[in-house]
Amino acid sequence: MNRVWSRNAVSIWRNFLVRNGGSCGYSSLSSEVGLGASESQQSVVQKQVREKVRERVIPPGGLLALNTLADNPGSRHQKTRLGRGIGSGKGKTAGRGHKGQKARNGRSPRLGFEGGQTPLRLRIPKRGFTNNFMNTFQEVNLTTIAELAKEGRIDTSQLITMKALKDAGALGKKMKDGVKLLGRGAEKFSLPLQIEVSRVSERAKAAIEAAGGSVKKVHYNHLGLKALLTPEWFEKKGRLLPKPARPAPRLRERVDAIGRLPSPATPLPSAEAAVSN
Amino acid sequence: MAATARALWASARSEAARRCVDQASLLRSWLSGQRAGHATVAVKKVFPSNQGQLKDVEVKVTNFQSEDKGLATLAGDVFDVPIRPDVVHRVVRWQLAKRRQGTASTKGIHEVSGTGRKPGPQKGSGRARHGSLRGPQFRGGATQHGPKPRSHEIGLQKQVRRLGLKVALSSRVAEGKLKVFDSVEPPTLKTREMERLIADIEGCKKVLIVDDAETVNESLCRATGNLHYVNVLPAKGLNVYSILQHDTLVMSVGAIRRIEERLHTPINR
Repeated sequence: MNRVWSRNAVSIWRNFLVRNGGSCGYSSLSSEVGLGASESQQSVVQKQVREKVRERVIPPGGLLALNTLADNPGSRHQKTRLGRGIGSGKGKTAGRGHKGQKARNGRSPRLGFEGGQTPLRLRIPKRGFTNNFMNTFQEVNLTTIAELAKEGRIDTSQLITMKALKDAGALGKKMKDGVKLLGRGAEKFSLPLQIEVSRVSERAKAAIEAAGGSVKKVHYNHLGLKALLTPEWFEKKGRLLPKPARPAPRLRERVDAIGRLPSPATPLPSAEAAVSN
Repeated sequence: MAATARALWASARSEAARRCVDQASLLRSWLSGQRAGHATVAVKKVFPSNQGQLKDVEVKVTNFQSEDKGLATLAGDVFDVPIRPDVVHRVVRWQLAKRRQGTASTKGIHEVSGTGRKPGPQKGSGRARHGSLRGPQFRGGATQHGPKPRSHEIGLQKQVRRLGLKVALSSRVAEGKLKVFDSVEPPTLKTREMERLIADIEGCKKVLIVDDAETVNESLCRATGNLHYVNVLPAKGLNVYSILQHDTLVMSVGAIRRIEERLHTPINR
Protein backbone atom coordinates (compact mmCIF):
# COMPACT_ATOMS: atom_id res chain seq x y z
CA MET A 1 0.00 0.00 0.00
CA ASN A 2 2.79 2.32 0.84
CA ARG A 3 4.37 1.71 -2.50
CA VAL A 4 1.16 2.54 -4.33
CA TRP A 5 0.65 5.74 -2.38
CA SER A 6 4.05 6.94 -3.26
CA ARG A 7 2.72 7.60 -6.78
CA ASN A 8 0.60 10.65 -7.37
CA ALA A 9 -3.14 10.77 -7.07
CA VAL A 10 -3.77 11.11 -10.79
CA SER A 11 -2.05 7.87 -11.60
CA ILE A 12 -4.13 6.08 -9.01
CA TRP A 13 -7.32 7.48 -10.51
CA ARG A 14 -6.15 6.40 -13.91
CA ASN A 15 -5.53 2.84 -12.73
CA PHE A 16 -8.89 2.75 -11.06
CA LEU A 17 -10.69 3.97 -14.17
CA VAL A 18 -8.95 1.62 -16.52
CA ARG A 19 -9.65 -1.32 -14.27
CA ASN A 20 -13.32 -0.50 -13.87
CA GLY A 21 -13.94 0.76 -17.40
CA GLY A 22 -17.15 2.64 -18.06
CA SER A 23 -19.34 0.10 -16.23
CA CYS A 24 -19.10 1.71 -12.82
CA GLY A 25 -20.65 4.91 -14.11
CA TYR A 26 -17.63 7.07 -13.39
CA SER A 27 -16.33 7.21 -16.94
CA SER A 28 -17.21 10.87 -17.21
CA LEU A 29 -14.65 11.43 -14.50
CA SER A 30 -12.21 11.02 -17.33
CA SER A 31 -12.71 14.59 -18.39
CA GLU A 32 -11.17 15.59 -15.09
CA VAL A 33 -7.89 13.75 -15.68
CA GLY A 34 -8.08 13.63 -19.46
CA LEU A 35 -8.05 9.85 -19.63
CA GLY A 36 -11.17 7.69 -19.83
CA ALA A 37 -11.61 4.07 -20.76
CA SER A 38 -12.47 4.85 -24.36
CA GLU A 39 -9.90 7.60 -24.68
CA SER A 40 -7.15 5.54 -23.16
CA GLN A 41 -7.86 2.79 -25.66
CA GLN A 42 -7.74 5.33 -28.43
CA SER A 43 -4.42 6.68 -27.22
CA VAL A 44 -2.99 3.19 -27.16
CA VAL A 45 -3.99 2.73 -30.80
CA GLN A 46 -2.51 6.08 -31.71
CA LYS A 47 0.72 5.17 -29.98
CA GLN A 48 0.96 1.95 -31.94
CA VAL A 49 0.39 3.80 -35.20
CA ARG A 50 2.95 6.38 -34.26
CA GLU A 51 5.53 3.71 -33.60
CA LYS A 52 4.89 1.99 -36.92
CA VAL A 53 5.09 4.94 -39.33
CA ARG A 54 6.48 8.05 -37.79
CA GLU A 55 5.19 11.04 -39.67
CA ARG A 56 6.82 14.39 -40.09
CA VAL A 57 4.67 17.45 -40.32
CA ILE A 58 4.74 19.51 -43.49
CA PRO A 59 4.81 23.21 -42.63
CA PRO A 60 2.00 25.32 -44.16
CA GLY A 61 4.22 26.75 -46.89
CA GLY A 62 5.51 23.34 -47.94
CA LEU A 63 8.78 21.59 -47.16
CA LEU A 64 10.83 24.07 -49.11
CA ALA A 65 9.12 27.44 -48.80
CA LEU A 66 11.24 30.13 -50.42
CA ASN A 67 11.00 32.37 -47.36
CA THR A 68 12.24 29.68 -45.00
CA LEU A 69 15.21 28.40 -46.96
CA ALA A 70 18.52 28.77 -45.18
CA ASP A 71 21.93 27.26 -45.34
CA ASN A 72 23.20 25.18 -42.46
CA PRO A 73 24.16 27.22 -39.41
CA GLY A 74 27.88 27.92 -39.40
CA SER A 75 28.34 27.27 -43.10
CA ARG A 76 29.23 30.88 -43.83
CA HIS A 77 31.72 32.98 -41.90
CA GLN A 78 31.12 36.57 -40.96
CA LYS A 79 33.71 38.83 -42.54
CA THR A 80 36.10 40.44 -40.02
CA ARG A 81 35.49 44.16 -40.07
CA LEU A 82 38.77 46.02 -39.70
CA GLY A 83 39.19 49.43 -38.11
CA ARG A 84 35.75 49.59 -36.49
CA GLY A 85 36.52 50.55 -32.93
CA ILE A 86 38.43 49.26 -29.92
CA GLY A 87 35.86 46.66 -28.95
CA SER A 88 36.26 44.82 -32.22
CA GLY A 89 39.86 43.90 -31.39
CA LYS A 90 40.84 45.01 -34.90
CA GLY A 91 40.41 48.70 -34.26
CA LYS A 92 43.30 51.13 -34.32
CA THR A 93 45.91 49.56 -36.59
CA ALA A 94 43.49 47.04 -38.09
CA GLY A 95 45.95 44.17 -37.77
CA ARG A 96 48.68 45.93 -39.75
CA GLY A 97 51.00 46.87 -36.90
CA HIS A 98 52.58 50.30 -36.47
CA LYS A 99 53.73 52.44 -39.38
CA GLY A 100 55.93 51.45 -42.31
CA GLN A 101 55.47 50.25 -45.87
CA LYS A 102 53.32 47.29 -44.92
CA ALA A 103 50.98 49.46 -42.87
CA ARG A 104 50.14 51.65 -45.85
CA ASN A 105 47.57 51.30 -48.58
CA GLY A 106 48.40 49.79 -51.92
CA ARG A 107 51.01 47.14 -52.39
CA SER A 108 53.45 45.84 -49.88
CA PRO A 109 56.91 44.74 -51.05
CA ARG A 110 57.22 41.45 -52.88
CA LEU A 111 57.82 38.16 -51.16
CA GLY A 112 61.49 37.64 -50.35
CA PHE A 113 62.35 41.37 -50.61
CA GLU A 114 64.40 42.40 -47.61
CA GLY A 115 64.34 46.17 -47.95
CA GLY A 116 67.20 46.29 -50.46
CA GLN A 117 69.54 43.98 -48.56
CA THR A 118 70.72 41.01 -50.64
CA PRO A 119 67.95 38.52 -49.99
CA LEU A 120 68.53 35.01 -48.71
CA ARG A 121 67.97 33.29 -52.03
CA LEU A 122 70.83 35.32 -53.59
CA ARG A 123 73.17 35.11 -50.62
CA ILE A 124 73.46 31.33 -50.76
CA PRO A 125 75.35 29.64 -53.64
CA LYS A 126 73.57 27.44 -56.18
CA ARG A 127 73.56 23.74 -55.53
CA GLY A 128 72.57 20.61 -57.39
CA PHE A 129 71.25 20.03 -60.90
CA THR A 130 68.23 18.66 -62.71
CA ASN A 131 68.73 15.26 -64.29
CA ASN A 132 67.11 15.42 -67.70
CA PHE A 133 67.51 11.68 -68.18
CA MET A 134 65.79 10.72 -65.00
CA ASN A 135 62.82 8.41 -65.34
CA THR A 136 59.98 8.64 -62.88
CA PHE A 137 57.86 5.55 -62.57
CA GLN A 138 54.47 5.12 -61.09
CA GLU A 139 54.73 2.60 -58.29
CA VAL A 140 52.38 -0.36 -58.07
CA ASN A 141 52.66 -2.93 -55.32
CA LEU A 142 51.88 -6.62 -55.41
CA THR A 143 49.19 -6.08 -52.74
CA THR A 144 47.33 -3.76 -55.09
CA ILE A 145 47.40 -6.31 -57.88
CA ALA A 146 46.31 -9.09 -55.54
CA GLU A 147 43.40 -7.00 -54.30
CA LEU A 148 42.29 -6.07 -57.80
CA ALA A 149 42.50 -9.68 -58.88
CA LYS A 150 40.45 -10.69 -55.86
CA GLU A 151 37.81 -8.12 -56.77
CA GLY A 152 37.79 -9.43 -60.31
CA ARG A 153 38.96 -6.18 -61.84
CA ILE A 154 42.02 -7.76 -63.37
CA ASP A 155 41.83 -10.88 -65.49
CA THR A 156 44.78 -12.91 -64.19
CA SER A 157 44.44 -15.51 -66.94
CA GLN A 158 45.38 -12.87 -69.52
CA LEU A 159 48.59 -10.96 -69.97
CA ILE A 160 48.57 -7.95 -67.63
CA THR A 161 49.87 -4.89 -69.41
CA MET A 162 50.06 -1.37 -68.06
CA LYS A 163 46.87 -0.70 -69.99
CA ALA A 164 45.12 -3.44 -68.01
CA LEU A 165 46.44 -1.92 -64.78
CA LYS A 166 45.17 1.49 -65.79
CA ASP A 167 41.73 0.16 -66.71
CA ALA A 168 41.55 -1.60 -63.36
CA GLY A 169 42.29 1.68 -61.60
CA ALA A 170 45.68 0.68 -60.22
CA LEU A 171 47.43 3.73 -61.70
CA GLY A 172 46.95 7.33 -60.75
CA LYS A 173 46.72 10.21 -63.16
CA LYS A 174 50.33 11.31 -62.75
CA MET A 175 51.84 8.80 -65.13
CA LYS A 176 55.23 9.96 -66.40
CA ASP A 177 57.57 7.28 -67.73
CA GLY A 178 55.84 4.03 -66.92
CA VAL A 179 55.12 1.65 -64.09
CA LYS A 180 57.47 0.04 -61.61
CA LEU A 181 56.25 -3.04 -59.82
CA LEU A 182 57.27 -3.13 -56.16
CA GLY A 183 57.32 -5.97 -53.70
CA ARG A 184 54.97 -4.98 -50.89
CA GLY A 185 52.91 -8.05 -50.15
CA ALA A 186 55.49 -10.37 -51.72
CA GLU A 187 55.31 -12.89 -48.86
CA LYS A 188 51.66 -13.69 -49.44
CA PHE A 189 51.67 -13.36 -53.22
CA SER A 190 50.56 -16.52 -54.98
CA LEU A 191 49.18 -15.51 -58.38
CA PRO A 192 50.96 -16.95 -61.44
CA LEU A 193 50.80 -13.72 -63.43
CA GLN A 194 52.04 -12.91 -66.89
CA ILE A 195 52.84 -9.24 -66.56
CA GLU A 196 54.54 -6.50 -68.57
CA VAL A 197 55.69 -3.34 -66.82
CA SER A 198 58.48 -0.80 -67.25
CA ARG A 199 60.56 -1.85 -64.26
CA VAL A 200 60.25 -4.39 -61.51
CA SER A 201 61.95 -4.67 -58.14
CA GLU A 202 63.97 -7.79 -57.38
CA ARG A 203 61.66 -8.82 -54.61
CA ALA A 204 58.53 -8.47 -56.74
CA LYS A 205 60.15 -10.38 -59.58
CA ALA A 206 61.19 -13.19 -57.26
CA ALA A 207 57.70 -13.39 -55.76
CA ILE A 208 55.98 -13.60 -59.13
CA GLU A 209 58.39 -16.17 -60.47
CA ALA A 210 58.08 -18.20 -57.30
CA ALA A 211 54.32 -18.21 -57.86
CA GLY A 212 54.88 -19.57 -61.36
CA GLY A 213 54.40 -16.39 -63.34
CA SER A 214 56.74 -14.19 -65.32
CA VAL A 215 57.54 -10.50 -65.51
CA LYS A 216 58.88 -8.67 -68.53
CA LYS A 217 60.38 -5.22 -68.40
CA VAL A 218 59.21 -3.48 -71.55
CA HIS A 219 60.31 -0.16 -73.00
CA TYR A 220 57.88 2.53 -74.07
CA ASN A 221 58.83 6.11 -74.80
CA HIS A 222 56.42 8.93 -73.93
CA LEU A 223 54.48 8.69 -77.16
CA GLY A 224 54.40 4.91 -76.99
CA LEU A 225 53.09 5.02 -73.46
CA LYS A 226 50.33 7.36 -74.55
CA ALA A 227 49.47 5.03 -77.42
CA LEU A 228 49.39 2.10 -75.01
CA LEU A 229 47.26 3.74 -72.35
CA THR A 230 44.97 5.98 -74.38
CA PRO A 231 44.68 4.62 -77.92
CA GLU A 232 41.29 6.34 -78.18
CA TRP A 233 43.06 9.70 -78.27
CA PHE A 234 44.77 8.73 -81.54
CA GLU A 235 41.48 7.48 -82.94
CA LYS A 236 39.74 10.70 -82.02
CA LYS A 237 42.43 12.75 -83.69
CA GLY A 238 42.39 10.50 -86.74
CA ARG A 239 46.04 9.57 -86.28
CA LEU A 240 47.78 6.27 -86.71
CA LEU A 241 49.24 4.56 -83.69
CA PRO A 242 53.00 5.12 -83.54
CA LYS A 243 55.46 2.29 -84.03
CA PRO A 244 57.08 1.02 -80.84
CA ALA A 245 60.30 2.87 -80.08
CA ARG A 246 63.58 1.10 -79.37
CA PRO A 247 65.22 1.96 -76.09
CA ALA A 248 68.20 4.28 -76.00
CA PRO A 249 71.56 2.48 -75.64
CA ARG A 250 71.86 3.43 -72.01
CA LEU A 251 68.50 1.79 -71.28
CA ARG A 252 69.08 -1.49 -73.13
CA GLU A 253 70.51 -3.17 -70.09
CA ARG A 254 67.52 -2.22 -68.00
CA VAL A 255 64.69 -3.66 -70.09
CA ASP A 256 63.84 -7.06 -71.48
CA ALA A 257 61.93 -6.10 -74.60
CA ILE A 258 60.50 -3.37 -76.77
CA GLY A 259 56.95 -2.60 -75.72
CA ARG A 260 54.38 -3.68 -78.26
CA LEU A 261 51.59 -1.53 -79.63
CA PRO A 262 48.65 -1.65 -79.37
CA SER A 263 48.30 -3.30 -75.97
CA PRO A 264 49.17 -6.98 -76.57
CA ALA A 265 46.95 -9.82 -75.43
CA THR A 266 49.51 -12.62 -75.35
CA PRO A 267 52.82 -12.76 -73.50
CA LEU A 268 56.14 -12.55 -75.31
CA PRO A 269 57.63 -15.91 -76.30
CA SER A 270 59.93 -17.26 -73.65
CA ALA A 271 63.06 -16.77 -75.73
CA GLU A 272 62.10 -13.14 -75.97
CA ALA A 273 62.76 -10.85 -78.85
CA ALA A 274 66.00 -9.51 -77.49
CA VAL A 275 66.81 -5.86 -77.40
CA SER A 276 70.07 -6.54 -79.10
CA ASN A 277 69.60 -3.72 -81.58
CA MET B 1 -4.74 7.51 4.69
CA ALA B 2 -7.94 5.78 3.78
CA ALA B 3 -9.84 8.87 4.79
CA THR B 4 -7.87 10.96 2.32
CA ALA B 5 -8.67 8.56 -0.47
CA ARG B 6 -12.33 8.61 0.37
CA ALA B 7 -12.41 12.38 0.34
CA LEU B 8 -10.73 12.49 -3.05
CA TRP B 9 -13.17 9.99 -4.39
CA ALA B 10 -16.15 11.89 -3.16
CA SER B 11 -14.98 15.14 -4.72
CA ALA B 12 -14.37 13.30 -8.00
CA ARG B 13 -17.90 11.93 -7.95
CA SER B 14 -19.51 15.31 -7.51
CA GLU B 15 -17.29 16.75 -10.22
CA ALA B 16 -18.21 13.87 -12.52
CA ALA B 17 -21.89 14.49 -12.03
CA ARG B 18 -21.43 18.14 -13.02
CA ARG B 19 -19.40 17.16 -16.05
CA CYS B 20 -22.07 14.72 -17.22
CA VAL B 21 -24.49 17.57 -17.62
CA ASP B 22 -21.90 19.75 -19.29
CA GLN B 23 -20.89 17.16 -21.84
CA ALA B 24 -24.11 17.20 -23.83
CA SER B 25 -23.94 20.94 -24.31
CA LEU B 26 -20.26 20.71 -25.16
CA LEU B 27 -20.96 18.12 -27.80
CA ARG B 28 -23.70 20.24 -29.28
CA SER B 29 -21.50 23.28 -29.55
CA TRP B 30 -18.71 21.20 -31.07
CA LEU B 31 -21.06 19.77 -33.69
CA SER B 32 -22.36 23.18 -34.62
CA GLY B 33 -18.77 24.30 -35.01
CA GLN B 34 -18.19 21.39 -37.35
CA ARG B 35 -21.21 22.34 -39.38
CA ALA B 36 -20.07 25.92 -39.56
CA GLY B 37 -16.92 24.66 -41.24
CA HIS B 38 -14.26 25.39 -38.67
CA ALA B 39 -12.87 22.17 -37.31
CA THR B 40 -11.69 22.28 -33.72
CA VAL B 41 -8.34 20.68 -34.58
CA ALA B 42 -6.39 21.85 -37.61
CA VAL B 43 -5.48 18.94 -39.88
CA LYS B 44 -1.75 18.80 -40.16
CA LYS B 45 -0.26 17.61 -43.40
CA VAL B 46 2.37 14.98 -42.90
CA PHE B 47 4.78 12.92 -44.87
CA PRO B 48 6.27 9.57 -43.84
CA SER B 49 9.59 9.50 -42.04
CA ASN B 50 10.92 6.86 -44.41
CA GLN B 51 11.16 9.51 -47.12
CA GLY B 52 14.64 9.94 -48.58
CA GLN B 53 15.71 6.31 -48.81
CA LEU B 54 16.20 6.46 -52.58
CA LYS B 55 13.40 3.99 -53.14
CA ASP B 56 11.43 4.04 -56.36
CA VAL B 57 8.06 5.75 -56.02
CA GLU B 58 4.83 4.51 -57.57
CA VAL B 59 2.52 7.33 -58.57
CA LYS B 60 -0.86 7.49 -60.20
CA VAL B 61 -0.96 8.81 -63.72
CA THR B 62 -3.92 11.05 -64.46
CA ASN B 63 -4.76 13.86 -66.83
CA PHE B 64 -6.46 17.25 -66.72
CA GLN B 65 -9.83 15.59 -66.21
CA SER B 66 -8.45 13.51 -63.28
CA GLU B 67 -9.03 10.26 -65.15
CA ASP B 68 -7.16 7.17 -64.04
CA LYS B 69 -4.39 6.40 -66.50
CA GLY B 70 -2.52 3.72 -64.57
CA LEU B 71 0.69 3.94 -62.62
CA ALA B 72 4.19 5.23 -63.24
CA THR B 73 7.43 4.52 -61.39
CA LEU B 74 9.65 7.44 -60.44
CA ALA B 75 13.36 6.74 -60.03
CA GLY B 76 14.24 6.74 -56.34
CA ASP B 77 17.58 8.49 -56.73
CA VAL B 78 15.80 11.46 -58.30
CA PHE B 79 12.39 11.61 -56.66
CA ASP B 80 13.14 10.20 -53.21
CA VAL B 81 16.28 11.90 -51.97
CA PRO B 82 16.50 13.35 -48.43
CA ILE B 83 15.10 16.87 -48.12
CA ARG B 84 18.09 19.20 -47.83
CA PRO B 85 16.96 22.84 -47.52
CA ASP B 86 20.58 23.96 -47.28
CA VAL B 87 21.40 22.57 -50.71
CA VAL B 88 18.27 24.11 -52.20
CA HIS B 89 19.16 27.42 -50.60
CA ARG B 90 22.55 27.36 -52.28
CA VAL B 91 21.05 26.50 -55.64
CA VAL B 92 18.47 29.28 -55.36
CA ARG B 93 21.16 31.79 -54.42
CA TRP B 94 23.21 30.60 -57.36
CA GLN B 95 20.27 30.90 -59.76
CA LEU B 96 19.28 34.36 -58.59
CA ALA B 97 22.84 35.64 -58.66
CA LYS B 98 23.42 34.16 -62.08
CA ARG B 99 20.36 35.71 -63.65
CA ARG B 100 21.29 39.23 -62.61
CA GLN B 101 21.91 41.37 -65.61
CA GLY B 102 24.72 43.28 -63.93
CA THR B 103 24.46 46.35 -66.12
CA ALA B 104 24.30 48.96 -63.34
CA SER B 105 26.89 51.57 -64.18
CA THR B 106 28.16 54.88 -62.85
CA LYS B 107 30.87 57.26 -63.98
CA GLY B 108 34.20 57.60 -62.26
CA ILE B 109 36.28 60.77 -62.20
CA HIS B 110 37.96 60.01 -65.51
CA GLU B 111 34.61 59.42 -67.25
CA VAL B 112 32.54 62.40 -66.10
CA SER B 113 32.47 65.13 -68.70
CA GLY B 114 34.31 68.26 -67.75
CA THR B 115 37.74 69.73 -67.80
CA GLY B 116 40.60 68.34 -65.83
CA ARG B 117 41.96 71.82 -65.24
CA LYS B 118 42.78 72.89 -61.73
CA PRO B 119 39.98 75.31 -60.74
CA GLY B 120 42.24 77.75 -58.89
CA PRO B 121 45.68 78.15 -57.48
CA GLN B 122 46.68 75.90 -54.61
CA LYS B 123 47.33 78.82 -52.27
CA GLY B 124 46.40 82.43 -51.82
CA SER B 125 42.92 82.53 -53.30
CA GLY B 126 41.12 82.38 -49.95
CA ARG B 127 39.13 79.44 -51.22
CA ALA B 128 39.43 75.73 -50.59
CA ARG B 129 42.07 73.88 -52.57
CA HIS B 130 40.77 71.69 -55.38
CA GLY B 131 42.40 69.71 -58.15
CA SER B 132 39.31 69.21 -60.27
CA LEU B 133 35.73 70.41 -60.45
CA ARG B 134 34.51 66.84 -61.01
CA GLY B 135 35.52 65.30 -57.72
CA PRO B 136 32.91 63.28 -55.85
CA GLN B 137 32.19 66.19 -53.52
CA PHE B 138 30.96 68.39 -56.38
CA ARG B 139 27.54 68.59 -57.90
CA GLY B 140 27.78 66.83 -61.24
CA GLY B 141 30.88 65.13 -60.03
CA ALA B 142 32.01 61.56 -60.18
CA THR B 143 30.67 58.65 -58.15
CA GLN B 144 33.19 56.90 -55.96
CA HIS B 145 33.17 53.10 -55.79
CA GLY B 146 29.95 53.04 -57.82
CA PRO B 147 28.62 50.00 -59.63
CA LYS B 148 30.22 48.96 -62.90
CA PRO B 149 28.87 46.35 -65.30
CA ARG B 150 29.95 42.94 -64.07
CA SER B 151 28.78 39.40 -63.65
CA HIS B 152 27.25 38.65 -60.27
CA GLU B 153 27.55 34.93 -60.80
CA ILE B 154 28.72 32.77 -57.94
CA GLY B 155 30.18 29.33 -58.45
CA LEU B 156 28.36 26.17 -57.48
CA GLN B 157 29.46 22.61 -58.08
CA LYS B 158 27.49 20.72 -60.70
CA GLN B 159 26.89 17.93 -58.21
CA VAL B 160 25.25 20.40 -55.82
CA ARG B 161 23.14 21.92 -58.60
CA ARG B 162 21.91 18.48 -59.53
CA LEU B 163 21.23 17.53 -55.96
CA GLY B 164 19.21 20.72 -55.56
CA LEU B 165 16.90 19.74 -58.41
CA LYS B 166 16.53 16.25 -57.01
CA VAL B 167 15.66 17.63 -53.58
CA ALA B 168 13.11 20.04 -55.05
CA LEU B 169 11.44 17.22 -56.99
CA SER B 170 11.56 14.89 -53.98
CA SER B 171 9.95 17.46 -51.73
CA ARG B 172 7.05 17.83 -54.16
CA VAL B 173 6.65 14.06 -54.19
CA ALA B 174 6.75 13.93 -50.37
CA GLU B 175 4.13 16.65 -50.14
CA GLY B 176 1.96 14.88 -52.69
CA LYS B 177 2.22 17.95 -54.89
CA LEU B 178 3.67 16.26 -57.94
CA LYS B 179 0.95 15.36 -60.40
CA VAL B 180 1.88 13.03 -63.19
CA PHE B 181 -0.17 13.37 -66.35
CA ASP B 182 -0.03 11.03 -69.31
CA SER B 183 -0.19 14.09 -71.53
CA VAL B 184 -0.33 17.81 -70.90
CA GLU B 185 -2.29 18.46 -74.08
CA PRO B 186 -5.24 20.57 -72.90
CA PRO B 187 -8.74 19.29 -73.78
CA THR B 188 -9.71 22.66 -75.22
CA LEU B 189 -7.99 25.90 -76.05
CA LYS B 190 -10.36 27.86 -73.82
CA THR B 191 -8.74 29.65 -70.91
CA ARG B 192 -12.01 29.49 -68.95
CA GLU B 193 -12.03 25.72 -69.27
CA MET B 194 -8.40 25.59 -68.21
CA GLU B 195 -9.13 27.76 -65.20
CA ARG B 196 -11.80 25.31 -64.09
CA LEU B 197 -9.52 22.30 -64.56
CA ILE B 198 -6.73 23.91 -62.55
CA ALA B 199 -9.17 24.87 -59.81
CA ASP B 200 -10.15 21.20 -59.54
CA ILE B 201 -6.59 20.18 -58.64
CA GLU B 202 -6.60 19.87 -54.86
CA GLY B 203 -4.73 22.47 -52.83
CA CYS B 204 -3.30 24.11 -55.90
CA LYS B 205 -2.74 27.84 -55.98
CA LYS B 206 0.13 28.14 -58.39
CA VAL B 207 1.09 25.44 -60.80
CA LEU B 208 4.04 24.69 -63.02
CA ILE B 209 3.32 22.42 -65.95
CA VAL B 210 6.28 20.61 -67.46
CA ASP B 211 6.11 19.14 -70.91
CA ASP B 212 8.47 16.71 -72.56
CA ALA B 213 8.52 18.38 -75.96
CA GLU B 214 11.59 20.27 -77.12
CA THR B 215 9.62 23.51 -76.98
CA VAL B 216 6.56 24.14 -74.87
CA ASN B 217 3.19 22.87 -76.01
CA GLU B 218 1.66 25.57 -78.20
CA SER B 219 -1.98 24.90 -77.32
CA LEU B 220 -1.17 24.64 -73.62
CA CYS B 221 0.58 27.98 -73.79
CA ARG B 222 -2.42 29.54 -75.47
CA ALA B 223 -4.87 28.05 -72.99
CA THR B 224 -2.89 29.15 -69.94
CA GLY B 225 -1.18 32.29 -71.19
CA ASN B 226 -3.60 34.62 -69.42
CA LEU B 227 -3.56 32.71 -66.14
CA HIS B 228 -0.77 34.28 -64.12
CA TYR B 229 -0.73 31.39 -61.67
CA VAL B 230 -0.14 28.76 -64.34
CA ASN B 231 3.24 28.51 -66.00
CA VAL B 232 4.58 26.13 -68.58
CA LEU B 233 8.15 24.91 -69.06
CA PRO B 234 9.76 22.34 -71.32
CA ALA B 235 11.57 19.52 -69.49
CA LYS B 236 14.85 21.04 -70.58
CA GLY B 237 14.07 24.23 -68.66
CA LEU B 238 12.97 22.65 -65.39
CA ASN B 239 14.85 24.27 -62.53
CA VAL B 240 14.81 24.57 -58.75
CA TYR B 241 13.63 28.16 -58.46
CA SER B 242 10.69 27.65 -60.79
CA ILE B 243 9.62 24.57 -58.83
CA LEU B 244 9.75 26.50 -55.56
CA GLN B 245 7.77 29.41 -56.95
CA HIS B 246 4.83 27.10 -57.62
CA ASP B 247 3.13 24.98 -54.99
CA THR B 248 2.15 22.25 -57.43
CA LEU B 249 4.17 20.60 -60.15
CA VAL B 250 2.47 18.88 -63.04
CA MET B 251 4.69 16.74 -65.22
CA SER B 252 3.96 14.53 -68.16
CA VAL B 253 5.33 11.00 -68.02
CA GLY B 254 7.65 11.90 -70.89
CA ALA B 255 8.95 14.89 -68.94
CA ILE B 256 9.64 12.65 -65.95
CA ARG B 257 11.64 10.28 -68.12
CA ARG B 258 13.60 13.19 -69.59
CA ILE B 259 14.45 14.57 -66.19
CA GLU B 260 15.53 11.15 -64.98
CA GLU B 261 17.71 10.76 -68.03
CA ARG B 262 19.18 14.22 -67.52
CA LEU B 263 19.99 13.56 -63.88
CA HIS B 264 21.38 10.10 -64.58
CA THR B 265 23.80 11.28 -67.27
CA PRO B 266 27.30 11.41 -65.80
CA ILE B 267 28.62 14.89 -65.18
CA ASN B 268 31.05 15.88 -67.89
CA ARG B 269 34.22 16.92 -66.13
